[in-house]
Formats: sequence, C-alpha cells, structure tokens
Amino acid sequence: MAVTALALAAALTAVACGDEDETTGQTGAKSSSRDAIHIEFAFAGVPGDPYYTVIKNGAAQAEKDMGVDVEYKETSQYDFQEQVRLIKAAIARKPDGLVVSEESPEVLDGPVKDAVDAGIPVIIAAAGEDSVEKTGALGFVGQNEFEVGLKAGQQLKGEGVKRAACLNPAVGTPNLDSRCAGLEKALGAGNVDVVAIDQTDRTSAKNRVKAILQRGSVDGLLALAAATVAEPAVAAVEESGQAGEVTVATIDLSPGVLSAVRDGKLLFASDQQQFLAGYLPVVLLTLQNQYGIRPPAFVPTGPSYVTKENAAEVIELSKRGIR
Amino acid sequence: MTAEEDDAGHHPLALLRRLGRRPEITPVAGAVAVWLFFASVAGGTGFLTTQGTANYLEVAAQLGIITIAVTLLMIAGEFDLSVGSMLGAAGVLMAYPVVELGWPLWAGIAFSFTGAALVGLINGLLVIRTALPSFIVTLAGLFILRGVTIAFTHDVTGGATQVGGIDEATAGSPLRSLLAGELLGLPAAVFWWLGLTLVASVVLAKTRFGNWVYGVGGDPDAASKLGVPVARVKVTLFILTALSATLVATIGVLANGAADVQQGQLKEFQAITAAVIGGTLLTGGYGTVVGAAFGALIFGMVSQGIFFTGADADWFQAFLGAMLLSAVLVNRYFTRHAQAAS
Repeated sequence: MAVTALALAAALTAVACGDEDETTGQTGAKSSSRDAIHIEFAFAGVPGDPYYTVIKNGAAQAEKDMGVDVEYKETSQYDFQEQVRLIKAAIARKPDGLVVSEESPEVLDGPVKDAVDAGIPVIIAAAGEDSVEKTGALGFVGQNEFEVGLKAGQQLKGEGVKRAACLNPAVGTPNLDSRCAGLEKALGAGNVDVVAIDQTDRTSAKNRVKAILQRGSVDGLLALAAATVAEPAVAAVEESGQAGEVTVATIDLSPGVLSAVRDGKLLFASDQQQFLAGYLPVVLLTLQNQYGIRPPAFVPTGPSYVTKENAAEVIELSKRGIR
Repeated sequence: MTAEEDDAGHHPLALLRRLGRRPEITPVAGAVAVWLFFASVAGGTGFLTTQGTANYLEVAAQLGIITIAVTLLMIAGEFDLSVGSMLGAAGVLMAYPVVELGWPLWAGIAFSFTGAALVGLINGLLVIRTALPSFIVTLAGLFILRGVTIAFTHDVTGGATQVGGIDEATAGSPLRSLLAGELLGLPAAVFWWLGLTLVASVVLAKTRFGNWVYGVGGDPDAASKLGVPVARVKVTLFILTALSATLVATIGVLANGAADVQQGQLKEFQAITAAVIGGTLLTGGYGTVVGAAFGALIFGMVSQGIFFTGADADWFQAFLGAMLLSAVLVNRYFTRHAQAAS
C-alpha cells in the first residue's frame, strides 16, 4: 500500500521534473523480473554506527518488501578510499543498481561518475546532494544539510539562543560542516563555536562539552549526532548545573535522545528519517529496472522534527533501529 | 665519586640529579609542564577550578586504569591491541543482560569480567602457542572482537547497536556508587585509578611476580633458565589487561547510562602512548606504573585542556599531536640529563 503510494509519487515527480532529453540510455525499460534484480550499496560508515545501522535496516526491509536482491556493503572504517574500492568492485560486478553515500564528494564524485558511465543506474543517498549533477546519478535521497543546520539554528534562536556550540563528531566532513555553517547563518557570523567530539569515548565527549560550558561563552548546543554526541551533551549540561540556561538540540535520533526530548532536556531532535535513505533507493531502482520509471532527482527525507509532543511514541522504533 | 656524593646532600642541583635518576621523574616533569601551559593559557576559563580538574582527571583515570595493565604487559615484552575492542565488548556484555534480561547489576558485571578473562586467556595462549608477535595476534583480536560485538548486538537487539536504559535498570544498586559515584567532587574512576596504581606499583617493585615481569621482558631466555614461568606470567598479564578494559567499560557504562558497540576505539593506541610518555620502553623490560599514571595524566590534560582554551576545532588533532610530542621530548631531555649526571 505504502509502496504503491511511493511508486505513484515517484512516477508523478518524475513526470513533473523529468528532463525528457535525458531519459534515454540507462533509464530504458527492462523486463527483468524482480528476483533477478541485484542492487548494491557502497556506503561509508562504520559497522555498528547507530546512524548508518538505521539505513542498513531500511535497505534490508526494502529487500524483503520489493522481493529483490540487495547487498549492503560499507567501509570497515570511516575511510573514503575504502569506499572508492567498494564502488570499483561494484562497477566490476555490474549490479542492476548502485546506491552510494557521498560524505566526501571530492573523493567519490570520480568513481561514482565511472559507475554511471559504465551504465549502472546510481542513486546517491544520505549525503551528497550536490553530486547528482556532477556525476550524472539518477537522483538523491536524503536531506539538504545546510538547511538542516539553518532550520535548527532558527528554532534555537527562537528560544533566545544567541551563541551556540556546534558539536561535530567529524570535523572536515562536508555534510556535517554544512550543518554548522547553516547554524552560523541562522545565529549570525561569529556566533558559533565548532567543537570536535570523540564519538568512541562518551566520557571524553561529555567532559569536552563540560569544558565548553564552563568557559561560559555559549547558551546553546547543537549536537550533530544522537547517541554518541547528544546524550553526553545532555549529561554535561545537567552535571554542570546549567539545565534551563543552556538550550540543547540534536540532529538524528536515539532512544536516549528521545527520552531526553520527552523529558524536556532536549528542545528537539531533527530527524533525517534515514531509514528512507536505505529503503527508497531500493524501491526507486527496482521500479527503474522493471518499468523504466526514472527516479525523481531529489527526494527530501527530512528534516522532520521530534519534539516533546511526539517523542514517546518514537522511542520503541528507535530501539529497533528503524527511527 | 666521592665529590659527587659529597655535594649530593648540600647542592640543590645535585638533589635534582638524584631525583632525575628515578625513571618516574621525567613524566612528572612533563605533566607539570603541560599543566603550567594550560594554567597560563586557560587558567581564566575554568581549567584551574575543581570542576575543570575533575574534568581531565576523569578522562585520565579511565585511560590510566587500562594503561597500568598495558604497561605491565609492555614491560613483559608484549602488546595487546585488542583492549579498545574489549572495552566496547565488555560494555555490551554487562549492559545487555542487565537491561534486557533483567539480571542484577553484580551478575552482569561478573558475566562481563568472566568473558574478558576468557578473551585475555585466549590472547595469551595464542601468543605463547603460536610464538607469533603479540602485535599481530592481538591486532587480529581487535578486529574479531569488534566485529563479533557489532554483529551480536545488532542481532540480539533486533537492529540497534547500543543498549540504553542503564540508569533505570540499575537505580539504587550500591555497586553504582562504588563504580560511578563521586567523592570530594571527583568521580569514582579517579580513586580506582589511584588505588590500582598503588597496588600495581607495589606488586611490580616488591614482589616476586614483579621481578618476573621485568625478567620476562628483559631477557626471556635467561628468565626461563632461572625458572621463571614465562608463559604463565604473560598469560596472566593478558588476562589482567582484558580485565582492566572491562573495569573501565563498566565504569563508563554506569557513568554514561548506555553501552554502545563503538566505544573504546583507539584506546589501545592511547594506552600505549600514555605508557610510552610514562617512560615505558616499546622494546620491553623497562617501565614503571607511576610513570604510566603520569603518562595517562598528560594525555588527559592535553586532550581535555584544549577545550578550555577555546581553540578552533579544526586544529584539535594537530594540537594534540604537538603537545604529545613536546611531552615526550621533555621526558627525553630529563632522561638524558639524568644519565649525564650519573
């Protein structure tokens, strides 16, 4: 039912913003049956990372729902060179569809273009919106990261925040840096401190935030990851006795984050709904293979917001790695 | 010789020289230098307050507990690169049964310590039996253990990679305050660190086992001929190393309210760094526990102190590296000075 609706939506969007001149070649209809369709993911991200795990779960669910064959491959480290090797291996196998996350466009645009040139239908998901045009990929499923930071910043500003710290677990990664830039756009130039957070050590993460709070220069915190950054940040605010003075918000969800939102310790959790970044590309590529339906160029999956009102109902789904 | 000893009691420089012969003095000097640096740069922004001190001491303590065991192992001539993965694994081993299966906290802790002892035993036996470098054997352990932890957690939780809800599940347990409580404004980890440093120092300096550790690392063949049970000493140290990571995992999970499979990455590397800053030789046979404690203290001060300075995040890693290099250089300067004096 939902799938049908999605397919319909996809078809409509394709008609609405489709560029007829380009719908030749790789988007031509094929008559392969679904169980013969093989779709590969070549993703960055570390196995076990809570954020990427949701994407992986989305892909697995789509594999079941669509009845196609999905192989989810991810890097063993957060290493884009390794991801390039995954893409090259995929090109050699020539799957019926390839889904790539482009956290590092400089490194990945080239290999993704090679995949496109090799005639593989490619969808970029989760990160790399700007790479669609550069690489000739069919489309992007994900969120505009600058807008995520901007909107989060506007809401923080609405709560009276004047100067915020952007808690960034991967300084130098374009999609995360864009969020901090969006935040700065909302709060005004010079009003954002970017703070590097170590995701693999919660004590260190918490204490770094405490150090920032003790310096007393910020009245807002925006965490760029949920479990590993926002949870320690909330603890830091409480332990520093600054609850109520410092407004905290986060991007992405985790059970701990949702409890904090429910209890009013976090203003909101900006939700990318990244389950869709795993789920939708499989749907779109399946339809593309089966019926030649051209995927829409941009499918925004977020930001949607979890606030005090709806946090409780999302917790159980987050525990299961769906939200 | 007489002249040297003669002014030893009177001349202040001579006192410094005598002190300089203690291997611990070099990391102590490094720690003082690092502290002075941050006190001058970030003294006005909270580094010098009780909270600021507790901040870096907690980080130093958690690293320091592991560094004690890693140092003993390095003195005995072996490495354990699997401690970081052990930390992540132990957290889940403890948290999962407590939160999801309703076990009492002590049972969860006992379960994870048993699992860790087993991992240490396997590491030790593999190193002894295969005679392969422990660097390689435990490097394999690093990957295997992390991979198993991720796959296991993902499967049993039905999709997640973390176990939350620790606070609710363990509320009121006296073990909580013992492991994650506070005393005098300092977290429990700091007292565990100090206590274990004391115990390990005494064991290393005053007991037969301590002599064995030095002997095994200094010259295993000679030690073996003298009747030192080389294999037993090494296996024991591998087990202790895994247990130290488990203690830190337990403290961390209780203090932070969640276990997740990514915790502890690069801890093996940080512990070796702290041990080396503390004067432990990479080649084995030399090192002290007190030195290791100050090595961990330097690491903690540098990694947290930067955030009191308000330096740009882009520079963080470069700054960390530069500070560590300076600390090691200060160490070496003092070591040379001490050697030249004697």
